Amino acid sequence: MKRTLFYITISVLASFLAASCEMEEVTFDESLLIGKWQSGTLYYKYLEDGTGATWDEGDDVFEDEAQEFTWTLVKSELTHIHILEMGGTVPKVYTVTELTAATLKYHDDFGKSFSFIKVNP
Amino acid sequence: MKKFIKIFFISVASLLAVLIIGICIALWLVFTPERITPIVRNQADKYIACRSEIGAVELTFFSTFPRFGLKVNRFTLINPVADAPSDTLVHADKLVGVLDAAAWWKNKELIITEFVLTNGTIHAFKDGLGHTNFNILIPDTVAKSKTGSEAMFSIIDFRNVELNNINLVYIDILSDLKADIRNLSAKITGTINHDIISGNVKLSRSDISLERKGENYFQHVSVRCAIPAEIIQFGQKIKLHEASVSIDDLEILLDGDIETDSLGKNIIANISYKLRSWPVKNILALVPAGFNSFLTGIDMDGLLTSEGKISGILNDSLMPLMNIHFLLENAMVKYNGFPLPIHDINCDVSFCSDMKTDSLSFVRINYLNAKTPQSNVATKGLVYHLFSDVTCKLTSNAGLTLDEFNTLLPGTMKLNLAGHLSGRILSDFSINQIRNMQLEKMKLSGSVILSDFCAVYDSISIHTDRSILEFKLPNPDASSKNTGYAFAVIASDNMDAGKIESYHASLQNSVIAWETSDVRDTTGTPAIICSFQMDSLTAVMDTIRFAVTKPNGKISVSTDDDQSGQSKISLTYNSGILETDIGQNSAKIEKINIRSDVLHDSTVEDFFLQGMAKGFVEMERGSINLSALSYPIEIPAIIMNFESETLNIKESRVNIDKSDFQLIGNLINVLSYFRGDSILRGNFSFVSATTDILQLMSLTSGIGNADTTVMENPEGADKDSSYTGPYIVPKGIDITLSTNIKQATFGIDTATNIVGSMQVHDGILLLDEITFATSAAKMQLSAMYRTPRKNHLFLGLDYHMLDVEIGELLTMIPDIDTLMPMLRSFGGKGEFHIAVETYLDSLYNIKKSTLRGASSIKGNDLVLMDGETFSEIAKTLRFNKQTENRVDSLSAEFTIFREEIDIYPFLIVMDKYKAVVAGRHNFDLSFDYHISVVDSPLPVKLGVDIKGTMDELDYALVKCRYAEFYRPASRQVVENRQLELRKMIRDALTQKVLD
Repeated sequence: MKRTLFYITISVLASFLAASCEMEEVTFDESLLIGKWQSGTLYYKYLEDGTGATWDEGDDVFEDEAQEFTWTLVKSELTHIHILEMGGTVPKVYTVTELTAATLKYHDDFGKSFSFIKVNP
Repeated sequence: MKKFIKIFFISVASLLAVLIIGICIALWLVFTPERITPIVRNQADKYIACRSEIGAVELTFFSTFPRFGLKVNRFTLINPVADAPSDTLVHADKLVGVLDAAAWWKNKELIITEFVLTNGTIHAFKDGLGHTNFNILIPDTVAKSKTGSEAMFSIIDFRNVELNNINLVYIDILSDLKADIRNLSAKITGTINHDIISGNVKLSRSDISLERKGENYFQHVSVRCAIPAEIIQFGQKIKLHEASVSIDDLEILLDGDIETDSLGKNIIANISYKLRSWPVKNILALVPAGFNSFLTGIDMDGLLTSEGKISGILNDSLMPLMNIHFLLENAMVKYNGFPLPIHDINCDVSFCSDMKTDSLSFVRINYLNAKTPQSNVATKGLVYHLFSDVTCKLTSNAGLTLDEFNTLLPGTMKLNLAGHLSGRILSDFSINQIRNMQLEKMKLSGSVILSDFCAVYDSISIHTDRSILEFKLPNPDASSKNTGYAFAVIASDNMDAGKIESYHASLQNSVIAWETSDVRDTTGTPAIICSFQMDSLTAVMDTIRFAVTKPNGKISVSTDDDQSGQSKISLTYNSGILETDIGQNSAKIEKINIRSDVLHDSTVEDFFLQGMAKGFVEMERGSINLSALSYPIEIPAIIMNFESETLNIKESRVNIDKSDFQLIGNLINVLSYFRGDSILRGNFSFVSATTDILQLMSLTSGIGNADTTVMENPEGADKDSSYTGPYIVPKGIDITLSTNIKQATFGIDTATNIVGSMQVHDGILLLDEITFATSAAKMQLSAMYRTPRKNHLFLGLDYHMLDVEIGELLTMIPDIDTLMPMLRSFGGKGEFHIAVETYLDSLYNIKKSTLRGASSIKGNDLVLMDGETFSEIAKTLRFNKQTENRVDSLSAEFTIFREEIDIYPFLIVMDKYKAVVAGRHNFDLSFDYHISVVDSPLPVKLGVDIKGTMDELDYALVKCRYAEFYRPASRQVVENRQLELRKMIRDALTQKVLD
């Protein structure tokens, strides 16, 4: 009996979850993304050709030693494809929540948020 | 008969008595001084222009027996002349003259049997205008001419002219000449027969002083002579017959004749001289005081003997041929400017010259020996071409004690010599050759022995117990056509050289031979052949020590004849044990063979291209101890050929502690590398039974890095083989090693059967698809290690593990756990691929912001997670109690980015469940997983979110996020995106796996 109740409860919860509504996805202007963004010692740089570079001065790494990636921004989905020199790629997908001329905010699927401000190139 | 004799003697006696009586009557009664004196005075007045004072004149017979003579007492001629010191021209106490009156009467012969002047003085004077006081004869107009004299006497004969104790003073104001002869005793005999005068002048005593222009040329010198002479044609020719002239007992003998050729204005001499054992001191005493300055500080002695002959014509353009022989015996010289007295000088020299003709002139030194207190020199030979280029051909011997020559060296030279030098030198050279330093035209050879030799120059010293130096210039036995300039060989029992507090070198039983072309010719490279052989050579400088036994070899430098600037250098070197210490580092090689040829082209501007070398090196049983290493590098053997750009290692075996390897291959661009034109390229086979990789890294770290900061060892680095400092990849080289290593250790990690390629490429270390086996798996590894700067080291790995036992893998290579902590959650065998790259700091700490990685794992029958976690999940999902935490099948991809490990959705099958798992694992050991149960006994599809840490788990039922995963027909957009990413990750990872 207990087992039956458990299953029922699970099913009810599952139906609630299944019926939840999806929010309409926001579209951001990717041209605003072009430039250098800073969050503490962490930097991202987006170029118009879809490439970019990132570095963290806190780790004694500077812009000329930055690691490259490619990027796409589709609606609110910002995808970084980090390309390994040894072969292989590391995709990172984020959801942009704010993109202005001065501010960039996004988060990943695990709820980790990032906030950047634009700095002079 | 007796009576006749008696009568005869009585008759003779009577005749004599009558004759004597007659003579006595004539002397004392008839020709008394009272009668004769006026006659003589009257006759004197007729012939003498000046005033004369004639004392009593006596007729002599017995004193002039057997002839009658005239004896004049107190004979004086007075002729005062202005400025003359005395108005007396001649004064004599006694004058005796004997004339052969019968000859005069019968044959018209003037025979002066005796003319004796005793105790007299003569003052001859000539004033500044040429007026003399001795021109006193009244001109005889009748008998003035020569012809008249000849007509008067057919013969004039001076049987005996004697001057006894005569003082003669001659003063010539015009010539500023003063001669003073004291105590003159002379005897003159001679005849005048037509134009021939023959006689003998004997000067038995005199005291001569001669002064001219204020210079005393002689002062009271004793002059004696005996001059038998014959004068022909009144001075046209003079013949001397063993004439002797002696000045202060310095006697010279003269013989021969001198002839005057008035037409040709020639003097024709044919005269020989001889002097014997003249004391040099006495000769010097005759040097006028005005010239004594030349002898100041000089003290000389010895005996000079000389003889010679002067023959030939003397005129304005010709000199007679002089053939002179000098002999100097037991001479000595002391000179203030030369601190060493020279003694035992013996010299035998011949001189021949007409002072003009080169072919006839020479000086022959038969011997010249001299000694200093401790040394001796001797020479002999010939000096010729005296009037063009004086040429010497000498043989010299010397035995020098060098200590005594230190006083000759300038104090500023700071040179001190000691020891003994002996030897012989043969020389043939000219003065012009010396002046122009034309060594190539000289002939010099010799042999010099140095014994207990020591030379100290400032702080530099050289010492040898015994060395022999032989040299020849030119080289008569040249080994090549271009090394005929000079030859030298030095053989030393031992030789030490060094500089105080700097360096020191020592040779034992060495022989060094040297042939060369003219090294002064700077237009080209000199040709040189140098061979050497010695028992040992040691050298020390600061903390550097070098010692080698039995080194021998030969260095040849040959040049082309066409002056193209090319030269060839050949080197042959063999030695026994070579040991060297440099600070705390040392090396020992028991045998070395080197052969090398270098083609040197001086016309090439680039220094590195000037020398093109090739040859080979062979070394055996070498050992190198480096302070940076705890273990010596043992080199059992190395054989290599080399050229300018290529090094071909045919064999090399090296042992370092537990490592051993054999390196065979080629190194190219060697010269270009040192020129800076190219990187050094190499391709080697590296075969090893055991290799400690860290040891090899410490050996090669930092090579070619100009930035010294990259060479600094990080803090904490020690000298042990477990080198912890950052390995700085050599720059400027491109070396590829085809490795075949049975067993390799890297710190605590061990791998076996490592086969593959390792490349060091200008600061980048590449391991290209190296396969190796561990107890856990067969692996394939590609890696890149780059060192742009000391605190920024790039490490990239492309790791493929096939059929891996994950648990053992983590035990064997713990570092993998750092990169991928998820592996701790799996057990069993699987297929594992990972590409990861990151930058490291100088202590090899990962710079997490640079960490990137992608991994793919695939396996069956894996054990998932730890038992406690599994139990919680199994309890939540109502697994059968018998269910193990085993994953039936697993195929997953996950990425590493900075501190995040993202696990892409993958399907696992456990028990009666199929679930899709995805999530994130963080380096702080927190995680966030979602499990969608897509197939289970439940009527609904549920999901579970698991968050937190292993110590504090938080899980909850959630909507099944991947409900239709792996079911393409019903996949949603997000799921498709995830699948695309997974495929991209896996394809990129697995495409490099070798079949």
